[in-house]
Amino acid sequence: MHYFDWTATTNISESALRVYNDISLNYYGNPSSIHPLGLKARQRLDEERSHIASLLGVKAGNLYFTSGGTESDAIVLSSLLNYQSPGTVITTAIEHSAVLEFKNILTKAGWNFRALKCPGGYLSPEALKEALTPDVRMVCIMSVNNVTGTVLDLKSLVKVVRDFEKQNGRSIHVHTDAVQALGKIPFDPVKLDVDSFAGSSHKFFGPRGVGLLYNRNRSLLSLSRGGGQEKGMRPGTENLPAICAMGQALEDVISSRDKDYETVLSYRKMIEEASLKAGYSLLSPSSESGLDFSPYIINISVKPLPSEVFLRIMADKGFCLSAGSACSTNSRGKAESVLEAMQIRSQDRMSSIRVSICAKNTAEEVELLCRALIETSGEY
Amino acid sequence: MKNIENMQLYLIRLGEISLKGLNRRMFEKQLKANIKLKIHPHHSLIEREKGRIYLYVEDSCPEELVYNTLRTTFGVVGFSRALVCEKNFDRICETALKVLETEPFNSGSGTFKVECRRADKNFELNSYQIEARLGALVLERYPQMKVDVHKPEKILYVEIRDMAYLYSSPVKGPSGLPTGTAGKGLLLLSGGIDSPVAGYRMASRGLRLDALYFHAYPYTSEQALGKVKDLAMLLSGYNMGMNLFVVNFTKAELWIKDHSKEEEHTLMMRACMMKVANRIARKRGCQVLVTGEALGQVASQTLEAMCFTNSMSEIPVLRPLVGMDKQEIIDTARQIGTYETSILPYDDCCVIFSPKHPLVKPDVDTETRSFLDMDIDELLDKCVEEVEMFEFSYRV
Repeated sequence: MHYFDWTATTNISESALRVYNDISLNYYGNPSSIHPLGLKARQRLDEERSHIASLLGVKAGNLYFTSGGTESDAIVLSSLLNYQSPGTVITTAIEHSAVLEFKNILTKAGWNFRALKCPGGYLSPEALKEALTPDVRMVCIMSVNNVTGTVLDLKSLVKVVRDFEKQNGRSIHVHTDAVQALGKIPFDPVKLDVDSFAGSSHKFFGPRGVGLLYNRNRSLLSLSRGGGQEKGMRPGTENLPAICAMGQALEDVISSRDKDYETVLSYRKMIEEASLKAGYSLLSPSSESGLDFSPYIINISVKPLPSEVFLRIMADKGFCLSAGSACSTNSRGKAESVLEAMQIRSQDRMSSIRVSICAKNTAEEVELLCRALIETSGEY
Repeated sequence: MKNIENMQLYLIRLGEISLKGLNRRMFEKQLKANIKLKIHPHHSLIEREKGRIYLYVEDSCPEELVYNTLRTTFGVVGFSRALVCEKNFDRICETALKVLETEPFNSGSGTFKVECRRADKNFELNSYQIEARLGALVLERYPQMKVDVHKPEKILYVEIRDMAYLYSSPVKGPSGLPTGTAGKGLLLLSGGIDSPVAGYRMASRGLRLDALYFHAYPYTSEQALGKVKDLAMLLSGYNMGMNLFVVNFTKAELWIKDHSKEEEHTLMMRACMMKVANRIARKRGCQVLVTGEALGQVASQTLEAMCFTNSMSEIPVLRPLVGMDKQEIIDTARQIGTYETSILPYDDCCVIFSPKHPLVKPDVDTETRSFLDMDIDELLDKCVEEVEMFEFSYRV
């Protein structure tokens, strides 16, 4: 099987697994215990927090370990429920369900939940500026879209928010879901001037069930309750083996990030070319468009075949691909609605497939994929 | 006298069968065979009496198997587990207490009556006396219960014959006529809600069914086929086992797509299905086709469309749901346990073969010409040749 679904998840790297085993076997004390084994685990946890913080260029004190991207997003969004009086939260209509699913709960609590349309997968600073009103308390914009790979211009978008803050005199929390950015494209939360971001370990060869939340906003109050771990932001006994393995995985991907990017970009170009040759159309930006995109994800419309049928044909040929977003097979039409918010036509949405690449793919494999794409368009 | 000691006894009520005339025995014989087959390898004996049969099952047979068997065997209107004892009033009281510990009496509330039949007129007490004394016994055991001789919720039956037989109100069976008494049919089974219900309806009239499914991989998924297999399995209990025939229909669908007008796709597909079904029915000795069509439900089920598809079949097409409301169909599907499987989200038809605006009032002659023009016969023969069969046991 040739795996081209790295956006959905990755396999754990050998180095991360080694760390996982080592910590599981040798640091099994509860970091909250005060006996030597507990203290040893606590020390290792602190070291790992500093390690990851330095990889990301943030303060260790602002880094919290969670169970994954979804939980990190949830901590930030659900914190709004602690506000005395509701206001407006602005987000995009192309976010992951981890964010969009908060619409109901926040609306019920009196919040105005505005999901802005993103034509082509981008949000312009002008559109955001227009949407800002004095009662906006939070802006939540993803870094890289998981369906098409478009990279949102966070720097300019955050600047719009900060300018508005100055005028209005009331602070706005800016959160970004950076799950598809971490370890793949340069991502500097301090320079971007965001207040918080979410990351997930299994997207960059770390283990499942662990993720991180960066937050520098002291007034953000988590809804979670428990034994006070992670400064109360995410209570529950720390998953130390997974946290340390995530740190190892992150170090690995960041150290080879620029080299990998080039490799993946060349693969992306091959697939793009083959798709056009096969008569398919790109739903992700073309590499010649001058738009900012992540080469790790490419979305293609394989009209007239529905995505589901195309995926079966490709699976029989030995390729693992996704329709829109892997999460979408659980509840039909979610990736479709993301594509709709990008103003992609309905026929193309029905036929959208997502190829996600990584540097672990070989050039031969990508060549095979390209051939299969062209072949399939001729057969069906 | 058969050796019925240490055997469980079930009293089975028959409905329609008992109204039959000279051929009643044929129906009873088939029912007996169906029940015995499902309970096999557990030993069982059956005695017939007018309007009911007595089923003796060896003690080691789990009660659940007997219950599941009788609940899914057409011809059974209702049944109760009966307890047998000596014709001695003390014994009868002891046995009655045992019956009171089982359903439906064990809830201990509601209204009841005792109904006695005394075939042996030499018994020391007459029916009224027995009823009165056992009634008192019930009230003693369950003081919350009340007697209502007109509309009781629960009835305790006592029969004094060669022995004393005690049982309570019957559990409902599926009624109908025993499967296999009305010949053989071929059910066009899709993954939807309707066709399993249509199969159930015809099986309940005694028709034994084979099933046929049209698979169009990769346009329809393996999960869709899996769903149809599950449905065939669910029906097999009622149908005394089921053979599911799976036709690979992909090439035919693609041919139809390339050789007919878009608005005619669905009609041509149905026509091809009829042709294939007729050929398989002939091979399998099926006298009729059974479909889940209901008038006006979708474009291919308008009267005109049905007339056209009907004209494509040489053997009669039975449509037991033709006049049924969707809700009625859904209710039956829930009752027979196919609904949950039918609504799983795996399509049995791909959108690329479904025209945006299908013909709703086709003309039979025009469409017949279109069908002949497609020249698809050879391909359909191939479909029939390559058909795959899956067997499902009658085990419940």
